[in-house]
Amino acid sequence: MLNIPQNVFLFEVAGHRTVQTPLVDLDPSLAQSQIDSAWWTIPVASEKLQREDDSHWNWQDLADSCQTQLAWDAVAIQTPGGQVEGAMTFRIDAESLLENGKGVVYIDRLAAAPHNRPWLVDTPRYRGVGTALVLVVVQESYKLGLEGRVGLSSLPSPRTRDFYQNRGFQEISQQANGLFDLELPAVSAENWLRQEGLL
Amino acid sequence: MKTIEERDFVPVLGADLPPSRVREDVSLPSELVARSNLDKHLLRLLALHPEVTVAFRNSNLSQLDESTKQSLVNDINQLLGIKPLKK
Repeated sequence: MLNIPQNVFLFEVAGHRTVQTPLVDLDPSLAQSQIDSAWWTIPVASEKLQREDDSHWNWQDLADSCQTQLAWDAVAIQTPGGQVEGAMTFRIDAESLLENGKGVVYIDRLAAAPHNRPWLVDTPRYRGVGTALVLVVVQESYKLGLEGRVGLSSLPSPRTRDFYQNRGFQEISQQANGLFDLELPAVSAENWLRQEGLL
Repeated sequence: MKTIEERDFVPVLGADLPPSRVREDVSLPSELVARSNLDKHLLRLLALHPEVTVAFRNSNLSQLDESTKQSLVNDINQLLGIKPLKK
């Protein structure tokens, strides 16, 4: 069961310290006000922002569709000041590609706020946003009896694939559209949960 | 595992699940209503693990109080070997 609100740990770059930040439900109103209307207003050249893979995503619609499906969820990391530092949607009814007959929690969308991306800004506010969100899903998979298995399809960039492979995800296949299917096996999930002191 | 200071900055990830990978054996019809996170968790456990035989099978949570629902979750966790996470 998602414990919401709960705190996740991020690293505040400017202050060089670890901070606790709440994980919250991402409802359409929050998505519209703190993501769709806020994320892309940072002082960065618009051409650069438009090259970001998620610049066209509509988080309000994503959050709205999650509200009517029990298999779906939308969550966000929101600072006490109200800003959303990262968001994610996931679903619990996906098949494992590694283990026949097993299920995974599938991450459908995940992104940090553009002001947390070092290739866009000189000093990102936080690091660890993606790790914190993926860890939330690993916990949810474990608590649902899916042994921590998580699946996702990664964009075809070395940076993205490295991010997941460094966390124990296995690359399984490449789709016709260039996306890579990755999956976190149960043994890697359990190792991660132990390293985090959760098991 | 890297320390939090060393963790990478997150990349963006986004792709719909191909319909062929949606589990047909997991049924969570839109008529089911979850009034709380506990309701949602219980309904998901029941949908994901139909092999778990429990007294309650009609998915109507409105007749159960919160402590009964939590006991049901605890029973299912025990049957499935799901250990409680710390923190």
